This record gives sequence, C-alpha cells and structure tokens, in this order.
Amino acid sequence: MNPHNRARDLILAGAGDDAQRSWLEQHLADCPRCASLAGLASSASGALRARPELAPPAVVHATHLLVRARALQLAETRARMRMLWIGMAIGILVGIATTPLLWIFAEWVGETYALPSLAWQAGFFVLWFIPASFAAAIALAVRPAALEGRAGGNL
Amino acid sequence: MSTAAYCAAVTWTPTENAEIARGLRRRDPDLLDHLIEQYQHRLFRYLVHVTGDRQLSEDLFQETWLRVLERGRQYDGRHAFVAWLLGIARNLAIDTVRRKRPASLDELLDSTEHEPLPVTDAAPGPFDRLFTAEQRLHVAGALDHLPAAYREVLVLRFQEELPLEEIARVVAAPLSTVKSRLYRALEALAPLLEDAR
Repeated sequence: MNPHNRARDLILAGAGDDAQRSWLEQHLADCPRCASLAGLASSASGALRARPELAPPAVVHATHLLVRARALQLAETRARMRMLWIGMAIGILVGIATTPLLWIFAEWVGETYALPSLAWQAGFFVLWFIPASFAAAIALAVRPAALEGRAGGNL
Repeated sequence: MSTAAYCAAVTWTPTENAEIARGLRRRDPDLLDHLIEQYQHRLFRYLVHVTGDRQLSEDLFQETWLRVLERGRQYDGRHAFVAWLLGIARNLAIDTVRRKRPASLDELLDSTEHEPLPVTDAAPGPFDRLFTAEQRLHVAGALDHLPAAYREVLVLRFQEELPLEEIARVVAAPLSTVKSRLYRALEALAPLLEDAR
C-alpha cells in the first residue's frame, strides 16, 4: 500500500498498536501533507471534546416516563391481540369441525319441510356465517383499541 | 447477569450486546431505563451535531427511544448497540429534516461528495500545536459551517470515538465511503479554520 494512503487510513481509523503508531510518527515527521491531515484530525477531535453537549435532565426524565407508558401500552395491546388470535384459531377449528354436521342438519330440515335445495343450502350458509360474524364483531371491537394504542405512541 | 449489572459496564462485550438484544425483544422497561441513562449524552450530542438544532434534538431524542422500544426486536446483538441506536436516530433525523426542509442530510452530502478534492497545502499546518481554548472555539465554529454529513462523521469518529466499521453501520454506507467522507470533512475544515483565524 502507498505509504500516504496507509498513513491516511491510520489517521482516520486511529493507529492500533505500537508498531503502527511508531511507523505513523516516523512518516508524519517526513511528510508535511500527512502531518497536516493529522493536525486537522487532532484539531477536530480536540474541539469536539471541548464542547460536550449534555442531554437536558428534564428531557431525559420525560423520556423515561414516555418509554415506560408506551411499554405498558404495547404490552396491553399485545395481550389483547393474542386473545384475538386465539379466538380466531378456535373459531376456525370449530368451523371446520362443525361444517359437515351443519350441512347434514340443513339437509335434514330441507327434507323434513320439503324445502327447495336452494333454500336449505342458503340456510346452511347463513348458519355457517353466524360464528364468523361474531368473530368479526369481536375483532372490530378489539382492533380499534389496538390501533389507538399504536397511534398514541407517536408523541 | 442482572440488567443493572450488565448495564453498569461502559463498554459492551458481545455477550452483553446479546443480553441487550434479548431484553429489547422482551421490551424490558428496566433495561430501557438503563440504556437511556447510559447513552443519553452520546445520543443527544450526536443529534445536536447532526441537526444543529437543540429543540429538534430534544424531540428526536424521545422519538429515538420510543423507536428503540418498538423496534427493539430488529437489534440482533451482533454489533455494538450504540451503532444501532445512532442509526435509528439518524434515520429519524433525516425523515424529520426532509419533512421540514427540502435538502436532507443525504442531499447535502450529494452536493459535496462529487466535488474534486481541494488541493492541500503541502506545508505543515498551524494545527500541530497544542490547543488553546481560543483555538478550540475557532474549530468549533468552523465545524458548525460544515455540511451535516461531514459534521456527522467527524462527530462519530472524533467525539464518539466509534470505529470506522461502526460508523459505516450508523450511516449505512460502505467503509470506503466513510473513509473518504471523513477525509473530505477534514479537508473541508482546513479553509474554514484559516478563515476563522
């Protein structure tokens, strides 16, 4: 590697070990251009360290409270969403398990009351959708609260 | 290891980073309290230098920690937490500045990165001496006149003392870009220092 590039890399990254440091010192003694760059780095470093910006305590305190409140909100939302997912899973399983029974029942009602096929099949679909409608109603009741929780965090 | 114990350390080891990652996945509020305490000044300093606006930095400070809480699962613990934290702060700052002003950090960078490198004075500069308070003031004033993207890498390297690899992670740029940006930032500082004298 070109010695100037190597020196530049060491100035920017910081010389790691003693060997690198001593090589750099030697190079800087002989190379005004690299020495100038090292001087600039030293200037920037000194100036930046000389003016430490401290986070205002009031802001830090408010952040603690804000983060705690949001963590609580997220935990509640998560618990609510978990219940929703469990409810949906149960609903789907019950739906799968009861569909053949429901079909047999609708067919029996159709035969008993001499209903046209279209009528008892329509009745089957109505009955079949009742649990899903309930689930959707519950989901709609839970979901806005979850969304409110999310929006509330973007303070 | 308890949250308090591992948060007490100033430098995080890979094991501790993994502990932080686990705590963030759980959204552990105690861990977040400790992280806020630990990194408050570094984060605030970085935001002030990048945005140049204290009030905006205070808002972004709070938003950053909320983002850490919400997106904590994205931190994998394989790299330094501070780099991930500053990366989040950077993205928030860019989004905010972009909303407020048409020129974002990236755009500021684009306008300067492709300019030819200024020719450096071959003679030794006046900066090889020890610093006086007055000189530091000059340099600090000159830093404020640098484009945000240059000021950012200088702050990350010389104030936060992050390794170049971590800086690359924060600014989401290749290592070579970080090196050249740092080099250009120092080169851009030279004439400003001359003017300030």
